[in-house]
Amino acid sequence: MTAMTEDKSAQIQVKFIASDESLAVPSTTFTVPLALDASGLEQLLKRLLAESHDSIDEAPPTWSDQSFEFVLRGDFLRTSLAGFVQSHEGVTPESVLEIHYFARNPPPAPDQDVNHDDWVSGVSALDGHVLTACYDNTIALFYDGHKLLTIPGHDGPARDVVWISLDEDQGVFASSSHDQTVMLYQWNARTRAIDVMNVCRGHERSVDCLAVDRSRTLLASGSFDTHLKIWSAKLQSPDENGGSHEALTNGSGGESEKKKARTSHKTLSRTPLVTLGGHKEGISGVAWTEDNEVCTSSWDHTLKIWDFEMRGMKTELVGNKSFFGLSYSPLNRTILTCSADRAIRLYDPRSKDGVLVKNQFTSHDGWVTCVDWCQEREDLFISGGHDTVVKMWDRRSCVTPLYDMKGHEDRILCCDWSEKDMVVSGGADNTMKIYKSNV
Amino acid sequence: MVHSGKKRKTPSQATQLSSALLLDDETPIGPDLNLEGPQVNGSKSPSEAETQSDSDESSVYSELEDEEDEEDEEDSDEEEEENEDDGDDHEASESDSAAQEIAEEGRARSKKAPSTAQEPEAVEALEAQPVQDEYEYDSSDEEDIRNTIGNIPVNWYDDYDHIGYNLDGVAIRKPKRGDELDHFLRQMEDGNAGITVRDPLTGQDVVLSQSQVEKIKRLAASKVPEPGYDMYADAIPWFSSQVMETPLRDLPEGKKSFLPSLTEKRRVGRMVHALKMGWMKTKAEREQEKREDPTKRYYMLWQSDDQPEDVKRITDLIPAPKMKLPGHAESYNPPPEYLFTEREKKTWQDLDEEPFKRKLPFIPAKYESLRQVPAYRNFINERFERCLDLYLAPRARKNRLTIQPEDLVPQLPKPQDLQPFPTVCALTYKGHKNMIRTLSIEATGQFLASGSDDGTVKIWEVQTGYCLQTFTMPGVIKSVMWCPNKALSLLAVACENMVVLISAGVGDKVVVDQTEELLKEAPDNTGYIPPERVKNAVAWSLPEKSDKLPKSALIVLKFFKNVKQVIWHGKGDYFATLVQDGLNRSVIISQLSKWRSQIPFSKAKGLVQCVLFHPIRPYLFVATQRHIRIYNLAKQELSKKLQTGAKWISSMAIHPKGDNLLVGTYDKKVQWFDLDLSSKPYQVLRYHATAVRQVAYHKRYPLFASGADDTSIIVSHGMVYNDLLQNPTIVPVKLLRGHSKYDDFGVMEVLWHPTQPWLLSGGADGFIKLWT
Repeated sequence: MTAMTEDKSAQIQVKFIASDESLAVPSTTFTVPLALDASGLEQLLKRLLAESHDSIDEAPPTWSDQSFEFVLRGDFLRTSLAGFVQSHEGVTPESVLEIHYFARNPPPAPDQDVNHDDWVSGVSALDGHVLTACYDNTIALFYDGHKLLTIPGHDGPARDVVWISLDEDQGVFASSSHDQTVMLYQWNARTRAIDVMNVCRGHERSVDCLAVDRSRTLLASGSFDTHLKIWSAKLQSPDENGGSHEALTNGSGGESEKKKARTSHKTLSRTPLVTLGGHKEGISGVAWTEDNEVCTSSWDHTLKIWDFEMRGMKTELVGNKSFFGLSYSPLNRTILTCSADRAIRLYDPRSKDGVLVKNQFTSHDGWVTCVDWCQEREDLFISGGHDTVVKMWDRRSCVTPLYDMKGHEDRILCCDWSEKDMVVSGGADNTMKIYKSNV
Repeated sequence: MVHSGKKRKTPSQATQLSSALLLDDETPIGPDLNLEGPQVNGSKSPSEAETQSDSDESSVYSELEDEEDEEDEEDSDEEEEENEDDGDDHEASESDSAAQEIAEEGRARSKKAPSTAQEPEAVEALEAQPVQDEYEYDSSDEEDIRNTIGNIPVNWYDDYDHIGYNLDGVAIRKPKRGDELDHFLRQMEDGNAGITVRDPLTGQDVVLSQSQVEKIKRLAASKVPEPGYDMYADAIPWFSSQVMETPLRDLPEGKKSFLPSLTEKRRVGRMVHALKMGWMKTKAEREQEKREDPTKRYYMLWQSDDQPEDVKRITDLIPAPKMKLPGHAESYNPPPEYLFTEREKKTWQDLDEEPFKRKLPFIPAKYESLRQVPAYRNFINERFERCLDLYLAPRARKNRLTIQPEDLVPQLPKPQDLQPFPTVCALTYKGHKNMIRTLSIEATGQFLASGSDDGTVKIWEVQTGYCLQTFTMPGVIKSVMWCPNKALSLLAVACENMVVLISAGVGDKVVVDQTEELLKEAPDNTGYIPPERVKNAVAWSLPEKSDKLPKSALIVLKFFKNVKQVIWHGKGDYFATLVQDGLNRSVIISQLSKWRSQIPFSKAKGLVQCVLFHPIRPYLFVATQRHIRIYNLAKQELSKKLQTGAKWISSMAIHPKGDNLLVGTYDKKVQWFDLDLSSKPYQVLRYHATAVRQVAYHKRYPLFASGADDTSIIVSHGMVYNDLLQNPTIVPVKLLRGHSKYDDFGVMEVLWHPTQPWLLSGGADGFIKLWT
């Protein structure tokens, strides 16, 4: 085989398979030289596209100035075909290689870089507005690189922050902290006034993760005290205090903590709608999967899917390392997790048999602390780790990431890709960085 | 029928008979009574006698016998007559029957007498006689058949008028007998009365012959009955070395002698078959082969030379090397090319100092004849050396042990099968400015407390490595430990001569508030007077401003000397403190809820290095330099003493189940004690190159770790089984390096995460590392 690959005239049979219908080419088998690399394949593909689209389409082709990614056997083609055949076992020059191709995304570009006073432990972006949770007990709001405000609301280091809603008039968001509370804020976009509307009490340890459901009415929080609590995300003004508050606490399954509200005259203490216990150790990540379903990842090596209606656990997926975070994509309905090792694992919660881990992405050098799916494209996600690099992945390639976004000088603690053109990350180097992703 | 006389062939038989007579005397004259029938038979009837004489014509004795026969015939005739006459004589007596027999014997004897006299000739005649088959007739049923009553006493017929029955079944009448007077008159009349006896079988009177009388007389005189018998005649050597032409014994030949043996037949058959098949060879063939085989014709004269000696003692013997045979050079008349040239001779002589370098041990020389060859100078030396070589060299193959070094190592599982265990450094907690002496992790594993030489205690978030709190203390922090009580968020810090209990301020807010609330004032101790010894050793107080303690300090215990270690009991109410150089007050146990202390030991057993509470039972482990003593706190007695064999113990750790103890020593060893097994270490691990500073067990996973001054941490798998018969499995699995050396100190503290297989290590370089 080596002799053949060294031979310049050696050839291999390939077949192009399009991921995108609009870029499809006839599924004939070609014999191409092994020395061909990605750019060579691209030229070949473009010629094929020109041939197949010429007669039908008069409009200028979208692909003429597009570059392509080629995925062979779950890995990007970064060298020549010969190099690929050499480095992958089981691939022989005699077999027909199936080459999946799709239009390459332009690389993300560094956009903003904001310094904080302490570690940035949580980020959340919505409509260009970026919220950061910082270890100096504050929450900060940025827009276009400018700090709009800093909210010193918590008593302990803030752990996570999440947008609930944002429109032209007002924005609503929540933050969690080491002080065992979740705070709901109302931000008046016009007056730039901020109000701490509600303080959610009930957790007995630091609240490490937050997630808002799709209807933007429910807020799930996971804590180190092993409990998952679900709160109402609707704001309550102090005027409405009374009946509605009681209504909310009706469903506080078993958890009847009547804590003394240490709130100001404006803020209202809030108790959880549901408390779900079952994890043996702290919850590190939470995500809404369906309307009434929450998935949590925990240090006790398990992923649990909870049913909010049933108020109980639905499914459990067992891993072999502590999980540090997860992300659920409604587009492909799979869960990405990061755990106390270098790998990112892809779980399919619906599959009942076979291996639970559908895919494993290893490129980070150190713990992976955060992962986030792209909300627009089902194949893309980002991850950040202790190796100070944010990586952009395509789920079809499990070894080579699409792009490495370097810039952080210390461990990355959080990342967010809920806005499709903004990759936001925060780290232990006290900075929050935004990359323009151009997806 | 043969004449009975012929049967009496030898005098020896005659003597036998006479002795039989002597033995069997029932009656006064009895001996002859038992003389067998033949004689009587012989005198049966004249017709029989006649036939006999006819048949015996060939006999040598014919003449003599004939005469006697005639006499016998007459006698018997008379008897018969008598019988008829005395047919009705019913009187019969035993003596009569006895007399009758004697009478018959007498007759026989008279016939015999001449034959015995001629016996030597008779022998010769016998020898000449054609051999008669003595088994030709059977005489076993011979009996006196004149009376058929058989062998019963005759007196049974005393009351009858007959004395039996003859062959025809006719009763034999007893002869008529007169009374005693008749008898007497008859005696007077008859001249033969003295020699007349009655035959008991027939009841007839029989007159004894002269010879019979003579015999009776001789018997009565205890003489040999035969008057002519020579008792002292020369013995005839019948059984001699002489081979007779005819054997003495005339037994018919055995069946064996004429029937072939079956087994032999079979054997022969087999041999014949083997010969046919060529499996066996005849002697001639074998000899032929031997003649043709050249190897059999020649043989080694000194056979043992090229074969190993048959020495049973040495199993696998190597034969002795043979001496080199002499070559041309040794010849007395060597070819000229073997003779030394001048140069060769010189070099040979030059090597006088080092004779072993010479090619030959002698100079080849030429002689006219063998006679002129002188004696060889080195002969004795060479022989001696050769013998010495043979004697000293053990020419037996040594059986090498086929034990591979790998086989001696116990079968241990592979490290990769023992996952999970920490392998890489995941996080480094940076912040301390000096060496970290002590670490302690909170029960849930979220927070870590560390104490350093820079006088600070820091509390870290384990997952991120964020320093949440820093408490500045007035001195070097020797020991830090979280209170295991979950209702308290309390940290015991040993600093200088103080133990400060600090509210950690992390974790559940409610717990933090409770802790501060609970411990902000002293408990009511009125009525309790501490003993003088305790009072001098320790003082409890609330923190004062002059102490320069952090704000969250709740209680301060001041000891009489510097505190080296503080360790909580599992329940979180008691804690033990180890005071440096405290002698008999080294170990002080304090109770948090009552603010009381006690000193358990009155005597100093040595320089105490560290103390440890048993996780389940009320035991206190106290390590001095060389020994570990286990005290039962409930019974207040020494329960066990462990012999470490180490020079200086540095640290101890107890397995969460409480049956195994890990001891680190400054002499580079880590010792595993099985407390149920022995007071000696179950296993000693010598993997560290320098002093071991700290050892630690994991609470959940079968892991333990040891940190040493050479900046290495060794993680080992240490599985403890519930089965008491199974010993713990100990496998070192990973060597972790990452700390840097500082002032010859490496890793000062190792600590396991309570729930994850993660290891925390504090180094002299001021960093804490998390290994996952």
